Amino acid sequence: MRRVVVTGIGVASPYGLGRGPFWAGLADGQCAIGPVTLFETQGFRSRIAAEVPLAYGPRGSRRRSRADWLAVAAADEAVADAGLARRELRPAAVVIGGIGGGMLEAEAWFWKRERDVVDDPHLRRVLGSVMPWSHADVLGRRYGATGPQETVVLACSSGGAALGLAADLVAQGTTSLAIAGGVDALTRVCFMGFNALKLLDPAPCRPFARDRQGMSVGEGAGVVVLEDEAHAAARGARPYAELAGYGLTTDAHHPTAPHPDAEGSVRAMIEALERARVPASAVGYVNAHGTGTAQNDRAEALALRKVFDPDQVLVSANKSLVGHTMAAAGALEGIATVLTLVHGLVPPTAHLDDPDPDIPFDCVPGVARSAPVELAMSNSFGFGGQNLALLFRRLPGGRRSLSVS
Amino acid sequence: MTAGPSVVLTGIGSVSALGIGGAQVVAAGVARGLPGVAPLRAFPTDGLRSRLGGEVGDLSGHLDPDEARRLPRASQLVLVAVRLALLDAGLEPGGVTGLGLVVGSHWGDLRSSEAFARGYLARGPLGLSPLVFPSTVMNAMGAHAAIAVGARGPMLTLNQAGGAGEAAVARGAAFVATERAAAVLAGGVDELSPTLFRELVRLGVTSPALGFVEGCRPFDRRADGTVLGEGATFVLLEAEPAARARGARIYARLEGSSAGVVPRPARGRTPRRRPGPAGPGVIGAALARAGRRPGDLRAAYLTGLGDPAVDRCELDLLAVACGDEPVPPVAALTPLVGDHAGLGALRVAAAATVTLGRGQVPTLPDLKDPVRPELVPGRSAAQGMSGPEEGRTAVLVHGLGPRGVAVALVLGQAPAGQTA
Repeated sequence: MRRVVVTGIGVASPYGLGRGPFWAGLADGQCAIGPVTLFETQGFRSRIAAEVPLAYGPRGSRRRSRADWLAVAAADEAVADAGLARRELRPAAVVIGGIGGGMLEAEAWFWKRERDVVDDPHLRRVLGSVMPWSHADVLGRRYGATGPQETVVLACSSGGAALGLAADLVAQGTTSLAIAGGVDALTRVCFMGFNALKLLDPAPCRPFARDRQGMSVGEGAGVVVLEDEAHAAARGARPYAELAGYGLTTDAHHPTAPHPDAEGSVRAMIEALERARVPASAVGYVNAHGTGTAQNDRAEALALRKVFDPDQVLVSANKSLVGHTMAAAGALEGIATVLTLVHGLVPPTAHLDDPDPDIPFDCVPGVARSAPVELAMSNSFGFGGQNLALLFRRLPGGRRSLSVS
Repeated sequence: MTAGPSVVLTGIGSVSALGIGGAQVVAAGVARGLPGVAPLRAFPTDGLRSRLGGEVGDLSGHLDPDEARRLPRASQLVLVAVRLALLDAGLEPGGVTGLGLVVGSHWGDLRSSEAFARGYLARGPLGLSPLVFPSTVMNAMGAHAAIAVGARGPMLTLNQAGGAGEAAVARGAAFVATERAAAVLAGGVDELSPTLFRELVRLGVTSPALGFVEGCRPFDRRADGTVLGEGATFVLLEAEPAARARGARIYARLEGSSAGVVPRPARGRTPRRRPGPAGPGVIGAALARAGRRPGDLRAAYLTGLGDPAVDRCELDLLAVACGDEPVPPVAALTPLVGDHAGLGALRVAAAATVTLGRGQVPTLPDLKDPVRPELVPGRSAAQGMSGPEEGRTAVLVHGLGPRGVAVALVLGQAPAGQTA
C-alpha cells in the first residue's frame, strides 16, 4: 500500500473563497452564521445559516448550479495549490461527496411550476445538474481527468468519506493522484427538513454546551489533492500532511438517531487508528462532528470517551463557526484538521460559555490553542448511522504554512 | 482486484420487470429473453411521446406490513433485493458479522423529495413531514436496508449517471479485498416516478427520440433512445476462503475491475468523438488486472442503452480493447427491463449464472439491422442463446453513462463443481 499525502487544499466557505480566509476565520473564532438570504424563511423556528458570500447565485449561474460553482472554486484553488498542470491531471480520480446537488435551483423551478403553474424555461435549464453526480462531472471535464469518477452520498459524512475512498484509490495504486472533497449549497429542503425535525437552534449553534439547542446549517466546498507520496516527491511537491487511515462503519440502528452506545462511531475511530497502526494515545486532537444537537454531542462524547483519554486529547467543533455544511462538512473539517497539524494551532469551539458537565473533554472554548499535534482525527457522522473517522499525520518535512512552498 | 483475498459472488437478489427472486429468477428471465417493458400502468403518460417502461410489480408479498407502510418505495426495492441476495447465499439477515452495503443509483429517491416539497407548498411549515425528510437524502435507501439486515460494516451510496451498479460492485469487492468488510451486498436501484419520467422524456433521453416505433434497440440502426425501467439488483460478495469455509455456492469470481472517463458520447445519431486508440482504456485495464486477454472472454455484457451515440461509443471501446483479438459476443439487458441503476448488478448476475454457469450468451431481442455487424451478430430471439464455447472462461461486464463515466468488471468461472 502506498502512503497518501495531501498536496493541495481549496476551500469555499462561509468566510469566503480561499483556504486563507477559512483558516483565519477558524483560528480567530469568528462565527460566520447569520440570517438566510438565499430563500424565504418566514414561519420557521430557526432563520439563520452560514452562507458562502458568493457573488454568483442561482440566477446568474445559468446551467451550472450554485453547488457546482462552489465545487469549482474550491477545486481550482486545490489544483493550483498542488502546482499541478492540466496535463498532469489527466490520470486523476475525482471523488466528491454530495447530498443536495443542484437542488437549490431545482426547487426554484419546481416551486414556480407548482405554485404559479409556470414551467420557467430559464429555471429548467439547471435540471441537468440537479443530481449530486454533477459536481464530479463538472470537475472531471474541467481538468480533463480520465481516472475513476465517483460521487459519494453518505449524508453528513459524504465529504469525509470521499477523502477516505479517494485515498484508497491512491493507496492501492489505481491512480497516483485524486481530487477529492465535498460540496453542498444551502437548499430549502435541507433547511426546512431540519426545522421540521426541530433540530435547528434559533441562535448560532453551541456544540458541547450545556444549553445547546440544535445545529445551524451551512454551505460550502472543501477539496484536496491526494497524492501518492512518491509521486508527489518525484515532482517536487511539498505535502501538508499524510492521510494515514480512515474508518467507515454503520450503526444499522435508526434512520436518524445515533446508536445510544455509540458503538458504530467507536468502531470507525478504532478502525482508523488500526489502519494507521497508531495507538489512541498518540492522537492529540479530534475535530469533532459536534453538531450542537443534544443527541449527537452526547453520543459523540460517549464514543470519544471509549477511545481516548480526556486528559490527553483536545476536541473542538468547527460547526460552531461555519455551521453544518452538510456534504462539505467532512471535507472542510478534514482540511481544518490538516491545517491544525500544519500550524500547531487548534481552532476553538465558539459559544461554549457553559460546557456540558457530562462531556469530560477540553473543547477549546472561544479561543484557539497552540498545541503541537502529530496525529489528529476528524469525525463525521450522518443520518442513516453513517460513521466516518479520518486520521491525519503531521509530516516532518511537510508545509508549515498555507503559502505555496 | 486489490491485494488481499480473492472475491467471489455467492448470492443474487433481484427486483425488476423480469421478476422478483434470486439467481434462478434472473437466469430464467434472461434466458426467456422476453422484454418486460410495457406501457406504464403506475402513472398516466398522456401527452408524452414515450409511454413504455420496465415496471416492477407489487412488492407487498416480500415486505412485512410495517415495512410496506413505513418505507418509501425506493427503500423497499433495495430491502427486498438485499434480503433475496442473502437468502440466495444461504445466509440469514443479521447473521453476517461485518456485512457492508454499497448502493449505486442514478436518481435516488426523488419521489420523497417531491412529497416533502409538496407538503410545504400546500400547508407551509406545518405541512413539512419530519418522517419524509430523512428519505430525501439518497443514502436513506441503503440505511433502511442496513437496519433490516444488520449491515454494520461500511455502507456507501454512489450516485452516478450510468454504470452506478457496476461501480457499486467494484467498490464492494474492494472493501472485501482490503478486509474492510467480511462480505458486501452491492448493487443498484432506481425508481420510476411521474415527474422524473416526464422530464426525461422532455429531455429527449427516451425512445422514440428520432421517430421510430418506441422501443429499446441497442446496437441497431433503428435505435432512437432508451426505455426507462426501475428495480434493484444486489449481489453478495465474499472473500473466497470464507465462502469456501462455509460451503457457499460460488457463482463467479470477480477477477478485475477498472473505472474511468471516456470521451463523452454525444446524444444523437452520430457520436461527435470516438474513443482514441491511446492506452488500454477502462476495459483493457480491467482485463489486465484480471490477468486476462480479450480472447478469454465468452461474452461482453454491455450497457446497450439504446442511445445511438452511447451504444456506438461502447462498441468502439470494446473493439479498441480487443485489438487484433476476436471481439466476444455482445449481450445487453436494457431491452428486457429498461434502463435503471439496478441493471449493473443484473448484468453481473446474468453473466455469472447464464454465461459462466450455463455457458450461454443471451441474444439481443430485437436486433435486425446492427450498426456494426461484425461485432454484433444479428441473431434473433427465436434462435435462442448461443451455446458453450471451450476455453473462454471469463465475462466482461461494462457500464457506460451518457457523461462518459465507464466501469468494467471481469468475472471468471467458478472452480469446477462450484457453479450454479
